Amino acid sequence: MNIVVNVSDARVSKDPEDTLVTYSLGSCIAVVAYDPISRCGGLLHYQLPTSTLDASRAQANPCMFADTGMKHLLQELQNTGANKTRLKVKLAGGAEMFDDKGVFSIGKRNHTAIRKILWQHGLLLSSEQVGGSEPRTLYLHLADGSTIIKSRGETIPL
Amino acid sequence: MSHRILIVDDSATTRGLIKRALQLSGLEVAEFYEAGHGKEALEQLALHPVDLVLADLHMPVMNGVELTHAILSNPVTAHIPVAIISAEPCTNRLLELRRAGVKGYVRKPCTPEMLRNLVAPLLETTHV
Amino acid sequence: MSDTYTDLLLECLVEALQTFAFVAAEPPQGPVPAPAAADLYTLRFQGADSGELQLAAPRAFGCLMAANMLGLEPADAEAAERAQDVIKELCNIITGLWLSRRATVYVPEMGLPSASALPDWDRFAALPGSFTILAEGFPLAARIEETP
Repeated sequence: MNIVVNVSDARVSKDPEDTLVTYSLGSCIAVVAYDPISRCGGLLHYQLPTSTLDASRAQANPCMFADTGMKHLLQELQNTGANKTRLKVKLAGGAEMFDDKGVFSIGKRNHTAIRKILWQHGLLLSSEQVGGSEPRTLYLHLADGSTIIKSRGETIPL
Repeated sequence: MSHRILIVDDSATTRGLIKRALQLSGLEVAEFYEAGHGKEALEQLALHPVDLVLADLHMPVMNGVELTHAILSNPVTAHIPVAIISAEPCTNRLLELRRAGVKGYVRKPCTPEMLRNLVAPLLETTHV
Repeated sequence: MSDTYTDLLLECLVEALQTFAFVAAEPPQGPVPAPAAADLYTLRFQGADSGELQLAAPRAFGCLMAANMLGLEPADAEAAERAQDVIKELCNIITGLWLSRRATVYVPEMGLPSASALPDWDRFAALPGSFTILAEGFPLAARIEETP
């Protein structure tokens, strides 16, 4: 079953029949994390780098921000039986869409934020596809943890 | 098989980052040794067997180019793989080191994943 | 120093911060007050053309950078010990990137970074070619001094 993860949202599953999918990744970043032993996986789609930008919004919707969103995702994964030290983590998104800020783009800041959080948690990336200027759709298949990106009519494994 | 890695960089913070990245990579490393320049690195090599040397180039006292040549020209240490982690801007200088026997390089700024991807295959080909 | 080379320096500074130190950068939204205690870091390069990278940074910023890179809290003692070391390394990385990305045939040799106290931040920030960014709220000012 396809489980859609919306903007500022996160979902977790351990049903091998499930696929987590998130659409229209522009400057947002999607984080997928999968434990190959327990076969638990999760997907977070966040918009902004840090909850200090808007603490009350972070309270209402932690998945809007990289820091509170990642904390939520890791908690949900652990509640479902995942072991943090076994997680395979991948990223997609962080594009510069209609952003003329160049080196200061929100996509780049989103990317830097999640990389710092993962480093603090002791997690290295298995792979990532970030940057560019095209939107992406991301699929995580819970059966085996495989991840697919669709962008510009192409399908690319991540 | 557990490995021993010597990290040579005049920045203690960078040595710490490299060490942390490799510890988190799931690579089997039993021991990390550190040195702040080439002369200290040679002193470490005289004291401990080492399976891999990761060296910066721009360092005081003895730089990474001098260190590399010293390691590779000494029959006692010539078998140890050397890889470079450096901000060196000139690609030709890096390629010369490859021709001299350096096994790989990563340019700074590098991510922890780039460090893992540099070191993992080099450890697979080493043996004590 | 041409605007192109200054823009390139900005790009290299931000990339070095993001990639190596997990530090996000923003443009200032108005005048930036001088920090209470700051140091000036320099790194010379010599060759077909010569010059010096100059980077001004508050001492507290070094603690943040070191903490980020080592997975520590900024208040940790080790982060404070590493504060100057890490900004010298930042200079090393920025200079290497900048020299590698200029379209020149002969790439100069890089020296080693050094640090000294900066008594007048405003004066440095007003020098020709100098620009200021905010790195997680801390001001950083940078420029290249060309040597004839």
